Amino acid sequence: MRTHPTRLACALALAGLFEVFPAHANPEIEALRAEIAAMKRQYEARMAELEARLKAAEARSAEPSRPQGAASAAAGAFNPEVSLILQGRYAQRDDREERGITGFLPAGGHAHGSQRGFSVDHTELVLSASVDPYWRGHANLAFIDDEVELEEAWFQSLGLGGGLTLKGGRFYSGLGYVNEQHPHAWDFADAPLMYQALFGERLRHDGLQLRWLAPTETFLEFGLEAARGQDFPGGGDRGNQLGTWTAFAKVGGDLGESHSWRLGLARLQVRPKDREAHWHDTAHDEVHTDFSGRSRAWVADLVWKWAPLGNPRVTHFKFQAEWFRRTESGEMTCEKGLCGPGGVDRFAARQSGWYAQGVYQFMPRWRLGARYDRLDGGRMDFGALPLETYDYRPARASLMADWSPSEFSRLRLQYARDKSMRGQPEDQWTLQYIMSLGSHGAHKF
Amino acid sequence: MQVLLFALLALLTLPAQAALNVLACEPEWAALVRELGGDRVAVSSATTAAQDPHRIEARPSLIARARRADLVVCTGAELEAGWLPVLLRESANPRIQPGQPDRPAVRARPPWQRAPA
Repeated sequence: MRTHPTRLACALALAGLFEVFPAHANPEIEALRAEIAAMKRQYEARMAELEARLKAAEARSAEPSRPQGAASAAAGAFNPEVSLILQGRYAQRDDREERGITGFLPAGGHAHGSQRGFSVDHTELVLSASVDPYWRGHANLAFIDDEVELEEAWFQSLGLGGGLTLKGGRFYSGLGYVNEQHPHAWDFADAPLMYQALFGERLRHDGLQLRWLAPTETFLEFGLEAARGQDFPGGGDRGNQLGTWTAFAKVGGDLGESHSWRLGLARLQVRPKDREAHWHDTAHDEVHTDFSGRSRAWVADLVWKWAPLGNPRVTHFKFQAEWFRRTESGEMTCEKGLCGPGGVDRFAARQSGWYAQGVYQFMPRWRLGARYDRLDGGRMDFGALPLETYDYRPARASLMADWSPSEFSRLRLQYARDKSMRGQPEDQWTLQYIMSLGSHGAHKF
Repeated sequence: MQVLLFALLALLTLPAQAALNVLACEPEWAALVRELGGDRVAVSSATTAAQDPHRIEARPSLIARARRADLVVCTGAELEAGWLPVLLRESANPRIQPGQPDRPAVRARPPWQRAPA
C-alpha cells in the first residue's frame, strides 16, 4: 500500500505542533514547571550561602586551636580513665662518678633525672576510676627502659561517712605538700633538696591511711598512716611488724576572694632495720654501713596562693615553703676501710632543712619561678666508729621559666646553682618537656 | 543533669523543717536552687561571676564546704573537670558521690536525724 504524501505531512505537522507547544495543552504542567524553577532558585541561593559558610569555616580551622575539647571528651568515653605522661629532658651536668648530699646518709632508690644529656624520665601510665559509689581505684605504672615499676596502686573509700576516708595499697604519704604531687605536677624539674635528703624523692607506703575531715567552716583534716616502711628512711625486713607510722594535720581556708592558704604539720616515725648505706671513714675511703634503730621527723608545710578575684586564668602567684627536722638514733655497724671486718657502736643524728619557692604566672601560659633550698647537716655522732662527720650546709638556688600551650603540655627551662656537695658547686641547666595524653585527672590544691 | 534531677527530686520531697545544705558550682545554679527552695535551702556557690568555672582549683575552703553539703548542683559536660572530681573525692561525703543507685539527696537526712521545727 502507498502512503499518501499529503496525509504524512499533516501527521508530521501535528506532531511538530505538540512538540513545540506542549504546555499550552496543560496548565497543570505549567504550574509544576514554575514550582520547579522556584525551588531551583531557592536551592541555588542556599547552596551559595552554605559554600560561603564552608569557606569561612575552613579559614577559621587553619588558625591554631587548643586540643582541650578533644582531650577532655575522652574522659567520659573510657572507664577506667587512662592517661599517659611523657616526660623527658636535656640536662647539662658536671661529670661525677657519684652524686649525693654532703653530710646526709644517701637515701638510695632512684631519683628522677639524674642522667646527663638527653634522657627520658619515667613514662607514666595512669589508670583510675570509681569502682562504684563507695570505692575508687588508682594505679600508676612507671616505665623506664626495660623496667616497669608499680609506682602506685591503691583504693580509696568514697562513702564511709562521718568525714572518714580510708586508703590502702601502695601510695604516697599525705605528709608535707610536695610528697603527694607527681613529678609532672612539680613547679620545678626536680624535687626540693629536703625531699631528696629525707626520702630519696618522696615518701611512699605499702599500707593503710585513715583521714578525718572535720565538719567545720575552716578546712581541718587529720590523718594517720601505718605502713611496712621498706623504703628510706625505713629499710630491711621487720616481718609482721609495722615499720612506719605517720600522723598529720592540715588546716586551710580563704582570705577574701583572692587569697587561699593551707598549713600542715606531720610527724613521721620509722623503725629501720639493717638500713644499708655507703659512707666515708676518716681517711676518706668508702665504707659500708648498716643502721638499725629509730628515725623520727617533723615536717611542716605552708602554701599560699593568690589570684585576682580568685580567677587564676590570666595571672596568679603561688608561694610554698616546707621545713623538716629529723632525729635518728640506734646502732650502726660498718665494714671495710678503717672499720676493718666490722665495728658496731651507737649512732645519733639531728638534721634539718627547708626550702621556699614562688611561682608567678605573669600572662596566660607563661610562668616564672624561683626556689631556694637549704639543709643543715647538724650533728652526727658515730660513737667510737672511725667515720667522717661533716660540718656543712648544703644549699641550692633555682630559677625556672615554663610555657604551657595548654593544660596538657608544658616546656620548661631551669637553671640551678647547686652546692649540695661540699667543694663542688655546679651550674645545672635543664630543658624539660611534659606531655599528658588522654584524660588527665585534676590536680589537688 | 543527673545531679540537677536529684536536686529537684530532693526539693519536692523536702519536709518543711529541714534546711538542705546545697553547694552549687556556679552562681546560676545557686540562684535557681534558691528560687526553688526558698528558705528551705542554704545555698552557696563554689564560683563567682568573676571566676572562670573551668579554671579554679579545689581549694581547702571548697573541700570544707563540700564536706558539709547535702547536695551538689553542677553543670557537668566537663566544665568543672579540673576541680569537681577532686572536691567530691576529698570531701569524704557519701551524700554527694555520683552514681548511687538510691537517690542520695533524698536519702541525705533520714527523718530521725532531722531537727524538729
